[in-house]
Amino acid sequence: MSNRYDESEELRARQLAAQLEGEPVPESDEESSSLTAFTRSLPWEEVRPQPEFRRHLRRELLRQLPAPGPRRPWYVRAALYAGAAVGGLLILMIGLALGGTRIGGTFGGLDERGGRGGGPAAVQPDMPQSDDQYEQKHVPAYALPSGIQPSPVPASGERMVISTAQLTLIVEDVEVSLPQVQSMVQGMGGYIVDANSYRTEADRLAATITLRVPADRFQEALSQLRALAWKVESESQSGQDVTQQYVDLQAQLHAREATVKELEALLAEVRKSEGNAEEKAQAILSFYNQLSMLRSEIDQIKGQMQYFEQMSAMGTIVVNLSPREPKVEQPVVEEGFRPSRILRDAARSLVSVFQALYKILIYLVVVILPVLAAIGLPVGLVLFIWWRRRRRQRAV
Amino acid sequence: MDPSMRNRSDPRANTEDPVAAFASLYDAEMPRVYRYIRYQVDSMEEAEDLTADVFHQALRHWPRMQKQLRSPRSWLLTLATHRVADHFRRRRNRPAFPLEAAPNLAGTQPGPEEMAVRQEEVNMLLARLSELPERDRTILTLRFAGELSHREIGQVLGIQEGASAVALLRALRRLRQSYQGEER
Repeated sequence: MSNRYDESEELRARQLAAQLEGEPVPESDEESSSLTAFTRSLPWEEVRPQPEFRRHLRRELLRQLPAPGPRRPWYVRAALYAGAAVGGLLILMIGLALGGTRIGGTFGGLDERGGRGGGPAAVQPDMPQSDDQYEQKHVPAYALPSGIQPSPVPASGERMVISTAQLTLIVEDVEVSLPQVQSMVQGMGGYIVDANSYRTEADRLAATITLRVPADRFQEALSQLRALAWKVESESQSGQDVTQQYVDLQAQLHAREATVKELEALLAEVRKSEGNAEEKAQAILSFYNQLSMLRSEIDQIKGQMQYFEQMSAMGTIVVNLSPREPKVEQPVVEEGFRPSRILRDAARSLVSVFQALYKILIYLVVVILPVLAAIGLPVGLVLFIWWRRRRRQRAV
Repeated sequence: MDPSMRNRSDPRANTEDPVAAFASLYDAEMPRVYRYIRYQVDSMEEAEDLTADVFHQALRHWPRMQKQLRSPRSWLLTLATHRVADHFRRRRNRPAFPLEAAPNLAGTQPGPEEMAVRQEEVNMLLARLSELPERDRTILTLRFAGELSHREIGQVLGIQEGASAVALLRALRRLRQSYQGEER
């Protein structure tokens, strides 16, 4: 213990006290030494904190202090920060890229394979790349949408479904593929409804064909079309169940036909009956009006039924044929990679970033600062007064 | 030799690392602060609570105080003095029982920390101190339990160095009288 009851200091202090205040120093050396002895006899140092408490409090206190740790040299810290920043950016970019492929369509991932306009392109289940397998699973080559509600089946017992499909195919050469499509459709007993062809930027032929094939060969037609492709860019199928409407129409038709029969019978009776010629003519005329109205309604209903029958008998496929861009054959340079354009884009985004920053700055100065000042000044004043009062209290 | 090791004993020198500095301050001064408080309050539990309060408060001000402190010990004991005064003021405001009714209270609750060789003497001192006026008790414990110089006591209590010496002399006399009264 460092300065345990320093006697000489005690004596000096007492002399000083005597000078300052006229306070009597101990009357005698005797009293002084006896006081010293008395003080020494007291067990001042016998009281100690419990070791357990001492350790516990120490741990509790030190936990509250931020541990600074060994300070690394500036270049190590700079490297760490840079690494963290790059890592963050990488994660961000990977996230964006993954999100992009999801958005960009399920069929975008089918890559160069099964090409050369030859064999079955889209379905090769033993391809090793998992991405491709994912895509393949989502090629709806088999089932029509399953969410169709069961509805009354027409007399014929078949469901009436209007099937449509959209295919975007990239082919080696549209001029070769186009006649292939045509002959395929004809071979299946279908026909081409609509065909448009145009030139791409690279002066190559592209075409959009709308064709119809018998419903029972719809899936076959789709798979044959896929086989034509170097790459299936997108595909979608939909089916519209019109069974319900068709049954309704049938019922309406039957009702009207029954009415027509009855009216015709009545008309015959009126003709045969004898009576006032004028009244007879009137009655016959009104019967005719009724009948002609009914007949035209019947024709309309029949037309609609026929439309449904035809539409469900034939499936509609819209095929987009795009030529394969020749650049792709050099895999080193990706499609559409133009450094000058990237440079321009980068410069543009740099400018826009700065513009945005300036905008924020201007808003900050013009709008936010005054608002903050208006709110903050009174609050700050109150807080300041409170803080000062607390500090004064603590000082007391 | 590692400079931080060399300066470990002096809390002020090791300004680079506030944690190590606070730790060494704690290690050096904690028993003294505890002892100072213990000789003024009635029980070990109160002393522990108040000691913890003092060091928590010290910790809050440590980053600011660390560099400007000349005597960390008298700073800690100043905090402790305020805490003890608060403690008695609060207890006086809502007295569980009057102090006068239990003059020997301080000696009645020996804790494990008092398993000292001179247990009897410690209890006696606690009892005698609890009978003294608060002012006397403060100055005696500052001097002997806290081991401050008169200059430091003067700083803590806001009085002159000489006044501190005089007050201590009077307190000592009264303490001895109390002891002698016991003996008779």
